[in-house]
Amino acid sequence: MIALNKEPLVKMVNITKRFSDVVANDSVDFELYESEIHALLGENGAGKSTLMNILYGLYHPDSGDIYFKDKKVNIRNPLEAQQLGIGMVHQHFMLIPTFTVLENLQVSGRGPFRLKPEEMIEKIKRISSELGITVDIDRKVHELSVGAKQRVEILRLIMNRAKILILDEPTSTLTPQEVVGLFNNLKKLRENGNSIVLITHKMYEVYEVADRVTVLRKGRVVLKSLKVKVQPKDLADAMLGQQREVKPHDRPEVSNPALMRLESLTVLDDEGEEAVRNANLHVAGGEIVGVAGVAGNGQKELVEAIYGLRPSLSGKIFLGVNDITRAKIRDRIENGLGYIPEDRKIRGVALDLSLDLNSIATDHWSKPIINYNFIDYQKVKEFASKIISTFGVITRSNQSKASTLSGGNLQKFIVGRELIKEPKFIIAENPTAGLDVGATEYVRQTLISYRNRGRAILVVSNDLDELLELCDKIVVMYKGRLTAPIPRGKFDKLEIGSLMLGKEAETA
Amino acid sequence: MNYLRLGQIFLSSLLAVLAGSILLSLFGIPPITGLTSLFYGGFFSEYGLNQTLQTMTPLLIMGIGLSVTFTARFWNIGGQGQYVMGSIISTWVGLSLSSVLPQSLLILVVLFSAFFAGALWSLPATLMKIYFGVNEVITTLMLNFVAVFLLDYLVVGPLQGPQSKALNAPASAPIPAKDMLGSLLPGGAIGYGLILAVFLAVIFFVLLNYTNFGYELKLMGQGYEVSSYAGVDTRKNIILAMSISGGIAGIAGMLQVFQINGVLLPQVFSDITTSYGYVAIPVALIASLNPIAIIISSLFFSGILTGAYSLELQYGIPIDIVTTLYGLVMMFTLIGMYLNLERLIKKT
Amino acid sequence: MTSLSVDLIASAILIGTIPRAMPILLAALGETLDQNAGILNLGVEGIMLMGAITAFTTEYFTENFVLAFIIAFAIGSLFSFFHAFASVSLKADQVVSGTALWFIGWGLSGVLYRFYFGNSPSPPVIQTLHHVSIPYLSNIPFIGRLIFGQDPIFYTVIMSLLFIHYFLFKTRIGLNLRTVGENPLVAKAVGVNPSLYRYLACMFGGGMAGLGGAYLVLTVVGSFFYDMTLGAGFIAVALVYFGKWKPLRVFVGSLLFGAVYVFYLTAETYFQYVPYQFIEMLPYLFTLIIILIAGTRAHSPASLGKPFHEE
Repeated sequence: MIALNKEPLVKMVNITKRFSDVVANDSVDFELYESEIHALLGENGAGKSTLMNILYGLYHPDSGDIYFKDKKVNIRNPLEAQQLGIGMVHQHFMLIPTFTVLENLQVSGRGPFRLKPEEMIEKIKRISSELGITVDIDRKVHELSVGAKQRVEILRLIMNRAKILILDEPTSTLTPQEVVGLFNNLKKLRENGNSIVLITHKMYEVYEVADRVTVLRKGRVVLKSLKVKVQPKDLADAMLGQQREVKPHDRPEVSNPALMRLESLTVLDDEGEEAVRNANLHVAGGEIVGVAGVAGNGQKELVEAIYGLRPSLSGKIFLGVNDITRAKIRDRIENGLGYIPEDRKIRGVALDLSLDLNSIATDHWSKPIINYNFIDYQKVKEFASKIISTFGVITRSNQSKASTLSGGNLQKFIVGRELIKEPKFIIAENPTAGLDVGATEYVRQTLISYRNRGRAILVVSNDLDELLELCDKIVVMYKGRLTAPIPRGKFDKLEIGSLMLGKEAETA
Repeated sequence: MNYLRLGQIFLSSLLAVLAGSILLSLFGIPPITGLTSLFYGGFFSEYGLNQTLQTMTPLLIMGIGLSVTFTARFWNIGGQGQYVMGSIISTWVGLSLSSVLPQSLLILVVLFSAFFAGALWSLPATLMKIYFGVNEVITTLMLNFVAVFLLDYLVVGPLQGPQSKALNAPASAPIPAKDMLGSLLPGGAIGYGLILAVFLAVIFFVLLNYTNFGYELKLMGQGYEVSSYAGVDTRKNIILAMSISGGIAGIAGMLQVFQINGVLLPQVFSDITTSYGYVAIPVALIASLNPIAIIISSLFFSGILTGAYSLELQYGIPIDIVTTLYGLVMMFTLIGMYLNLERLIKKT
Repeated sequence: MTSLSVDLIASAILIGTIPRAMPILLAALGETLDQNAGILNLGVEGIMLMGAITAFTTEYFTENFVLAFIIAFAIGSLFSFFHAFASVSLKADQVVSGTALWFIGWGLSGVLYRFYFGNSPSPPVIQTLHHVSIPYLSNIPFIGRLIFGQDPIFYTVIMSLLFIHYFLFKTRIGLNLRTVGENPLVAKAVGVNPSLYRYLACMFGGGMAGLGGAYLVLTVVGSFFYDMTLGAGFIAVALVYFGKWKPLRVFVGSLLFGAVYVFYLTAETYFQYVPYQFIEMLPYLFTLIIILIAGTRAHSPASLGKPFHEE
C-alpha cells in the first residue's frame, strides 16, 4: 500500500525543459511515494518521457529542482541516478543484440574490475526466483522475444538495486497476455517496496494497475489524483483537452478485388532462415489491411520483399496484373507501389540533404522533373513545395536539411511524398510510432481518405490498438506465417493477442 | 555553395598554414618571413606561377575524380596507383604506336588507354567492396604499392629506354617530341592539360549537381538504407563512379608523361611532390567535393608546394613541411566545419 | 637451385618474421582496442612515423631505450587525442580526421628528422636493442631461439597481448568498452560514459601505434628514413579486420604477415629469377588476400566510425 502519510520519495518541482523552440516540460511538479505504482499518462509528445529522462539523468532540466528523500539532488547522468536507486526501462531497449543476456547484465558503470560470472549467475537466479521473472541467461539478446527482453531490462534494474523503476511505454509492443504478466510482476515489485512509474498513453492501464495518476498535456500537468478518485471520462478530458470525436469509418465500395496479392511467398532473413513462410495475402483497392504481430516474426522481411529490398525465395508478388516478384524497386515504384518505412531517419530520408532533394527520392527518373537524366530544379522546388503545403509540414524553407524536421513533421513529409504520387498500393510500417497526437491523427486520417479514393493500403504495425482503429481487415503474423484475414466486425483483441502468441488458427 | 562555408574554409586554410609556419622557426626562419617567401615563391614569381600551374593540372584532375566517389562516401585512396597505371599503359601504347599512327590519332588512343588502365586498376577494390564488404581504404591503398613497384620494375626492365640504360638511370624511352602535348602560352605554363582539367571541372560540376547520376551518388553518400529505398542501383553506380575516378587519375598520369616529363620515370615513395594521388585527397575534401571549388583548392595546394620548393632552395627547409601543411589544412577545415555547431550547443 | 634448407628457412623465420610482425602487431593491437570502442583511426601510419622519429631522436641523444619507448607512446597518444577530439567531441567524419593525422605525421616526422639530423654527413645510426637469451629455454633447438631469444620488447608485447585479451573479454571495463563500440547510447543509459571510454581507447591506440614505429626503428632497422613504414599502419588496420576485433586472432594475422617477409630473405636463394620488385609487392598483395578472407562475415562493432549524438 502506498505510504501516503510519509513524505514522497521523489519530488520534482517546477521542472521546465526546452528543445529548440518546443517546450517539452512546462513547470511540471511530480511526486512519487514509496510502494506505489504511479501512472504518468498523456498522449504522445506530452512530455512524459522527457520528464522521466530528466529524473534518470539523461537530460538536464532548464530550470526546476529534484528532491530525493527531502534532500535536493542534481542528477547529472544515469550513473548518479542509479546510485540513488533510480532505474529506467526505455521504449527502445538498451540492450546489445549480439551479447548474451548475461553479458548485457554485466555491463555497468560500477562494480568490480574483473567479471565474476558465477557470482552474477547466482545473483540473477536469486532475484529471478524472488520475483518470478524468468530469463535465459546464455541466449543472445537478438534471439529473445520482446517480452523476454523487457524482463531482462527489469531484472537489470533490480540487480542494480533500483528502488524506483521507470517504465516507458512498456506495453505497446506486447501481446495482451504478456501485458497481464508484466502487470503481475509490477504488483509483486510494489509489494516488495519498490516504486514504479508507468509512462503510458493508454487510459485503461491506469485502471488496471496504477495507484495514482498524473496526466500531462502539452508539457503541463493537468491532473493529479488517486486512481480511485477519478472517472475515466475526466481522465480522457484531461489527456486530450476536448471531447474526442468518433470519426466515421465507412468504407467505399471495394474496387479492384486484388490489387496487391502474395502467393505462397517465402523469404529468407539475413541469417538464411525462413522469415516468411508460404504467405498468402491480398489487399483490394479501397481497403486497409493490417498485419498484426509481435516484432520479429517476419514483418520486416515481408515488407522488404514486397517493396523489393529483399529477394524472395519462392512464391509470387502481384501488383494489379503485373508479376513484380523479380522486378527492381524502380519498376515497382513505376507500377504504383509506395512505402512509408518505419525507420524514418535511416531509410525514409537522407538526413543531410535538403527537403527539395528528398522530395524526389522515390521518383528521381520521371518527367517532368527529370529530362534525359537532367534535373530541373525549378520543378523539384515546385514539387517539394506542393508536398509541404498540402501536408502541412512545418519548416523554414525547402532548402532546410531533412534533419531539422521534428518527428511528426518528418513523417508528414514522407507520407506526403509517397501519397502525392497516388500509388495504387502503399505499405505503411508503424506509421504513427512516436508521433504526437496531432501528427498521429493527421497520418491516420490521410490514410483513411486515401483508402476512400479506392487505393489499397497495407499497414504493418506492432501496436495492436492502432490496427484495431484503422483497419478493415487484420491478419496476424506469427513465425512467418499469416493467418486468414479477420474482418472488422469480428475484431477481438484477446483473440488476436493469442494469435500473436502462436495460438493455432486458420492460415491463409 | 554556401558563402559562410566558403569563408570558413578559407579562414581555416589560412590558419592552418599559419600554424604550420611555426615549424619554419625550427630552421631559424621567422614564420612571417617564411610565409611571405612561400606565397611569393608559389604564386607571385614568374617561375613559381609557371610551376604552380603545371603542378595544378594533375591535382585538379585527380581531385575532380575523387569528388565523384567521395560524394558517395566511397573512399578511393588509390588515386596514386591509378595514376601510375595510366602513365605506364599510355607510355607503352604511345611508344609502340608512335611510328604507326598520326599524331592526332595517337593522342586520342593514348588518352583512352590511360583512362582504361586507371579504370581497370580501380576495379578490384570496387568489386571486393561490393561482393565482400571489404574496406576500400585499405584495398585501394595496397594497390598503390603494387602499382609503384610494378613501375619500378618496368623502368629498369621491359620499358627501359636505350638512353637510360646507357646512363644507368631508370626511365623509359623518351616520348618522341612530336607526340608531346605542347603548351598554349610561351613559357609553357598553361598546357592543354590544364585547359582539359578546367573543362572537366565544369562538366563534373554539372554531372554531380544536375544529373540523375549525381543525385544518386549523393543518396549513396547518405547511406545504403535510404539509397536502396530510393531504388538506386548502388552496385552499378559505384562501379561507374570508381571507373570514372580511376580513369581520370590515369589520364593525369598520362599527361604527366606526355606533357611534362617526356619520359616515364619511377615513382619515389617518399616524394610527396609527385604523389598527386594522395594530395588530391585533401584537395577534394576541403573544397567540399565541389569541382569548381577544387580548381581553387588545387591551385592553393600546388602553390604551397611550389613555394615550399623555393623555401628549400632559399633556406634549406625540408620539403616535407608541405605534407604537414596539407595535413594541417585538412584538420583545421574539418574542425572549422564541425566546431561552431557543437561548441554553441555545449555552451547553452 | 639449392635444395630446401631447413637452416636457411629457420633463420629466415627467426630474423624475418618476428621483427617484421612486431611493429604492425603493436599498432594493430592498439587499433583493435580503438575499434572495439567504435573509433576508426586511419592516422596510424602517420602516428607510427611520429613514434619512429621521436624514439630514434631520443635514443640517439640519450641512449635510453626505455625513455625512447615512453616518449614514442606519449607522442602517439597526443596525436590520437586530436583524432578523439575531432571524432568524439566534434562528431566529425573519422575517415577525414584520420587521413589528416596521417599527413601531419608523415610530414612532421620528415621535418623533425631534417631538423635534428639534417646536417649529419652520413645517415645517423643507432645501436639496436640486444636480444636476450632466457637461460635453458633458449637452447631448445629451433624454437628456443625463436621464442626465448628475442629482444625484451617482444616479451612485453606478448604480455600486453595477453593482457589486452583478458581486459576485453574478462573484465567489466573491457565489456563496457565493447558496449560503447556496439551502441554508445545503451552504454550511457547503463551508467557508462561513452566519450570517456572512446577518448581513452583512442589515445591508447595511438600510443601503441607510436610504440610500433619506435619498435621498427629501435629493434628492426636502427635508423630512420623518411616514409619508412611504407603502409604498415594501414596493414595494421587491415589486421584488425582480419582478426575480427579479437586480439589473439590479430596476433596470428601479424605472424602470418611477418612470414611473408621470409620471402624477402630467401629470395636470393630460391627465387633468383623473380625480379625483386615483385617480391616487394608481396606484403601488400598478402594484405589484400587476408582482408578478403575476413570480409564482413564477422560482426564489426556496430557503431564503428559513427559519431554518437547525445541529447
